[in-house]
Amino acid sequence: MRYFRLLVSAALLASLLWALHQPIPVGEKKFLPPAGHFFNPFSGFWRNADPMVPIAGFGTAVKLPGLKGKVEVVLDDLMVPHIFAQNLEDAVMVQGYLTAKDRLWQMDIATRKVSGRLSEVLGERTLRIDSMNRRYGLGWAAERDLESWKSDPTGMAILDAYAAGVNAHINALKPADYPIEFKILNYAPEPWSPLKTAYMVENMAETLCKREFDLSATQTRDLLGQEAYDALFPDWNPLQQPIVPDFGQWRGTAIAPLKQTPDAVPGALGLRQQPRARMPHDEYIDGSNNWALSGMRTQTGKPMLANDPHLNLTLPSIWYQVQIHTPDMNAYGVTVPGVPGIVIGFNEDMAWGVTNVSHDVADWYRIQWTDASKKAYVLDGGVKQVTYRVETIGVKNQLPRVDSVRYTEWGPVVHEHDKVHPLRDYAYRWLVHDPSEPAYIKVFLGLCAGKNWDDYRASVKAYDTPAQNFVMATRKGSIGIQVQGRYPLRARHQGKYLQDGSSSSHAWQGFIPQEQVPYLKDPERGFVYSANQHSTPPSYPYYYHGEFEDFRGRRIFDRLHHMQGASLDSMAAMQLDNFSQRAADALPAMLRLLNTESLDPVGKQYADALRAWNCRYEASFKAPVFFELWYDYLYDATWDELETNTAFPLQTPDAWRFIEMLDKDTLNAFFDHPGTPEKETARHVVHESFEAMCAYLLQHPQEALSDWGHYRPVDIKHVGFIDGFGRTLTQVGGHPSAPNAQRDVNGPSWRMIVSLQDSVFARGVYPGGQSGNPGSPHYDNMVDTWAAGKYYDLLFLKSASTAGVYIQGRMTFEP
Amino acid sequence: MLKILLSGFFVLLVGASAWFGLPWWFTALGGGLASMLFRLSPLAGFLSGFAGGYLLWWGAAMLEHVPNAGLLATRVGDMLKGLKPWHLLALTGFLGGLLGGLGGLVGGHARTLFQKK
Repeated sequence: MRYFRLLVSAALLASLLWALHQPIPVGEKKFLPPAGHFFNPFSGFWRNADPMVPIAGFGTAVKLPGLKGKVEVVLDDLMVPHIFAQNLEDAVMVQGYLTAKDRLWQMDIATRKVSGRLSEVLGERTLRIDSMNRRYGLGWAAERDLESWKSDPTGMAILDAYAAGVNAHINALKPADYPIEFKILNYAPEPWSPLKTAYMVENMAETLCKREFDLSATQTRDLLGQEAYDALFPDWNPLQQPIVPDFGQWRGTAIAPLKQTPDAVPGALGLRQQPRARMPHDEYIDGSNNWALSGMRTQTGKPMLANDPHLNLTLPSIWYQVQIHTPDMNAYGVTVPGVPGIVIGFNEDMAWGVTNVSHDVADWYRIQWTDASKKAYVLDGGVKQVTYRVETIGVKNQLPRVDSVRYTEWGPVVHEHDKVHPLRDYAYRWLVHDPSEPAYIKVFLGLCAGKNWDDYRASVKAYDTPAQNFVMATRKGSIGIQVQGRYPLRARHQGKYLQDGSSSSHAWQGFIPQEQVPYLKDPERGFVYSANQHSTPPSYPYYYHGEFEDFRGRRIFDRLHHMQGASLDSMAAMQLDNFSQRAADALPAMLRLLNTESLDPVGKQYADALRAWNCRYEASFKAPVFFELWYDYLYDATWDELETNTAFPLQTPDAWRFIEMLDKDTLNAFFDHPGTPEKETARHVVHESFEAMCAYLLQHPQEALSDWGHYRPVDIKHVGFIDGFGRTLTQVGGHPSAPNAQRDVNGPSWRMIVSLQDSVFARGVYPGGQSGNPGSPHYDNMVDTWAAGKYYDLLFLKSASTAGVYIQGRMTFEP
Repeated sequence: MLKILLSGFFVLLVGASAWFGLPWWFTALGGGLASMLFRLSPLAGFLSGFAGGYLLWWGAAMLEHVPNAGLLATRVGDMLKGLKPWHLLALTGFLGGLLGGLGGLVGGHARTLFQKK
């Protein structure tokens, strides 16, 4: 009996120990970590609770093998590290160390995403993402970039130093110190390497230059005919001001005549199995604003520069602030975790910032297979073998999946399931696959050390993808902007539609020469700016197409054009401007066409509210809710011919073109509903959609009462979508068509304003915090400041020995 | 009673070795050893183990929780579908208690076995 009792109690204990070691299933394919690992207070999640008040004198001396000299770091009250090093490699090594200290899991998961290794730690549920990122060749692109970078020894020294810094931090970690996400997902950090920095670069490329509409454009054109298509989708928006105007600089530019290349045969729908059955035509692209004013327009008589990149808002944020000081430079700004250097920032002489260029740099080429084995395809009248890249995707708790991706002359064959044309597929020609410039990785360090226009131009010329509008301003008084990137040389409309891949003569016809990349320096008007609009007017000698913004840029141009005596506050007011040019264009036309007499009293109230609205998307306003609903119903009712076609994805026109029709072309056939005997016009559709809005609001009284901020809450999600680790804000105004381009999950990810006065002064804020640890008071401490439209004065130190109330800690790094 | 208290304290000490890199389940080992060392009955072993284990795990969590003003526990509670920080503290303590307690129970039964021999 005693034995029995012992056995029973031992079995109980063993069961408990077993249970505490098992992952806990929650929902489909999701697991919580083993309770014993996670809850024990010695190495579990409790250890990630950082004290609210930093311990005085924390972070004493750190040994960092490989350093050439001593590095001192000052941490300010936002936990921004100010790195004082004797040389650039040391500074970069410490940048790597400190970034890893604050953002290690974010770096890990981003590189896993790009390289198709999420499923190793997340299991089957991310298999599709892994598979697609591999088939799109993101890892291949990173490997090719790194090969190119290896030919530049000083660049490689920087990448190696950064990796050594990250790894020094990782190596010093005990499991108890792992970021909480590693504990939740129950895996351990891996060493960093220069290849992982390349993955981070591809991550940005994937976000910023993967958009193309080849398939939907082809199908829409085939459905409507070329003439109707061109009328609905013109290349150029005449209301827009381009980033670089024509002041005669392109006159006499002789370019060799380009040959017109054929599109793929109409009706070739080989891409139907895209991951999205329908390509949403999203007029709100990820975008950004930047501008620089010359001294003639500012209070101080010195230039000012502002930049707010609009990206996915996440916790931890995409940005990490840092100051880097060496004998050759002193720069401050935001960095991308995993990449050395400062992407948007300033130094003692110069400031710089970026917005996305949005040119289309990806094309689909039709491949004609020789037989069902798809081992060879037709090229230049002969037969060409594919090469295979074998992708082995690890899956947690399962056998790895092996995928052999076919690579052609054009690039990888991403999708391979065409049931209509079993011997046809499409290969993906993407600029990002081309090896990047050898000195690419030094661009953002070159800018840190730049003093003038020549330095700036010399630095950015090695920057290729994703193309960016680099704005700049100097303390000496220069301003400028360059539409910097590598761009395919294409004949008019080449690559706008699916292309025939059976002849290598259909390829891109080279690249736009670097010296012909558009730029604008010290214009008489006293400002330069960009908001993802067209780079140049149609007189630019090189053809390009892309997805360009049509409203923010116009508003910014108007404000800058009238700007006098600009101050930090007036720059902030512009960044926070919720005025929508789109609403200002559309609303008068819509109201004009609305027959108010026939509305019921509630409808009349809505119409009155809209008539009184100043087109500002303020969080406390109700009218934006009515306008958004009305506009969306109106847009859908007009383009029903295209939107209800679910057989294959079609394009629908840009908002500016649609508004132009409402304004000037109310009898356009697209306003007619094809299924009805009547011939509808814009007037009918405007009225009908207004009634639809009223009916919707009657059914959704909550939305009828809510203001814009509650109707469109801003969701700052955790990078890994962990509930409770994100923030939802209901007091934030803005709209993608306003300078304060705020969408539900996407918006101004960093707001910076630099005054290039005698002693450079800057303000900045991002919706996050320096720490990536949800258990730290610095995880989201800047979110409320950002949401309130406030900024921090950025602490730009001249020396490590500075004392002050803002200084919260010091660290020293020694070899 | 004093014996049970001392034994509970002993469980706490052995379990606390996990701070220095030893496994978290040493709390159970502490419970077992304590029952033998202090010659406890299975029930007394369970109680002292549970008390020591609970106090250790709950207390260690509190040492992190209080200076953090509950920030992390609030977020982790949200992650776990709306648990409150005190739920997490109680759960943590309970797991520690269960480990120490079952360790003590096993130890107590093992001891009676040896004693009769």
